[in-house]
Amino acid sequence: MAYATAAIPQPNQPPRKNWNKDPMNAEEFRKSDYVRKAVARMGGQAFDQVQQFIFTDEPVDPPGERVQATVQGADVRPSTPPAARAVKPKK
Amino acid sequence: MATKKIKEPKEIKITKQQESQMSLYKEKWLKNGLSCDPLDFENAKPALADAYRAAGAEPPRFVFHMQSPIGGAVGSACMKVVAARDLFIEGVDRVRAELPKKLGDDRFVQKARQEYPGDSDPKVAVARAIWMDFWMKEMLQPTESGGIDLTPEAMNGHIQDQVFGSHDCAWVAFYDFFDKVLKVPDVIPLRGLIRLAELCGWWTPYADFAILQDRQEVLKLNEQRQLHCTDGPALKYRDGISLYMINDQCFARHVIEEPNKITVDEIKTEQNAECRRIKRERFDLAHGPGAYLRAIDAKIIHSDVEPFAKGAAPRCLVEDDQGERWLIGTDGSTKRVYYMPVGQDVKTCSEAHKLISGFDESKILNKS
Repeated sequence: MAYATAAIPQPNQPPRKNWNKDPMNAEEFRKSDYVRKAVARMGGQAFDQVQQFIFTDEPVDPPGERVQATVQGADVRPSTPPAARAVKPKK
Repeated sequence: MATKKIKEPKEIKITKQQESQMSLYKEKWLKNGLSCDPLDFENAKPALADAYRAAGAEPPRFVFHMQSPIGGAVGSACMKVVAARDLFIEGVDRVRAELPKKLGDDRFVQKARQEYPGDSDPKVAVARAIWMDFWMKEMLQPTESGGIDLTPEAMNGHIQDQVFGSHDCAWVAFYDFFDKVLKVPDVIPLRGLIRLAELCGWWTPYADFAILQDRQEVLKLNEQRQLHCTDGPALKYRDGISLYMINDQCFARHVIEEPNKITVDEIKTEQNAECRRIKRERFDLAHGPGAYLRAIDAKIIHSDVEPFAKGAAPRCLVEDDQGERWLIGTDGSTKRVYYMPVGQDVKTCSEAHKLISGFDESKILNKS
């Protein structure tokens, strides 16, 4: 659908300020208020999820190697068409 | 390599009563796709777990809530740093080590409580302040030193990892009908994905964590259901990420919201003919009818009426202040006026047409 696909940046295009056609290089983007807020939002939620470990002696079970491998490969992603991957033919 | 045999699909007979429900599903999913409701985070989590199980994976232990696809991509970049450097362990160790000292610092405690009023326990607010200081420094340092990678390649990669959620309504409607109305059991594994399409915007599944997003906050379309808004963003997310579009063409914010800032050079250098036309139209809107022609000090070199179309609109060849020549043509059906750059040696409208289209207009047949 137009409103979904239009949102996907094309390969080799720089990130866009406010997601519009004002180009912004990676360094400007990193220093933007937008990125700072997004990173802080992730940080706050990360704290909520590790808080239990801070106040106990429980060892942290972090999203370690398993995440690293899949962040790079996104192996669980039900890519298009999701139906093809999720609905496995019966043996 | 052995190839799996795919079973022939069973024939499914649809009754008239079942068929009559198709339109209801179409309406339901169109409404979902266009919905501007925020993410229903708590209800989306069990659906997410179902989707993972259907794909043969363990449900993610960490689920995050971001507000747009770009925000989701920044979230993925953060988690990549977390994974690469065991940052959760490092961060928890840091907070544990600093907490006793900081709790004894009244100014720090007061500041933490002001900054995080949601944490009723001052100990939690102080722990959060230490964590956030650590997190922000680690993430925002240069990529070479271990911070997040926000290069176009990295960001595009993270965005391509995303699933469209409510924007998957086009295919989800089909399977939802087969599940709920026709009771086709093969569709059952898709229920998690279908439910997510009802509850959230785009989302990113990874093996150990997922990032769910809000749907758009603003979505404006024209009659052809293309993204379109002439006085603000056509698509806007809750974190401010916006797309400014007219008739499905994307523009910088000022073209829509501050057309008085459009420059003549910006119009001349626009490569897309439709975008150039819209920019010129917006320029005239800001400065008055004919403003663009005056701004380029246009001189008419030649004018005629397209010879091949009945009732065709007039056209003319103009030269601007830089000696550049432009064919100005009109679309009879939409009344839109186009400015098309042509070579400086072009002397007639017909020659300009040939240069643009690559063929002589005398070869055009009018069958109307």
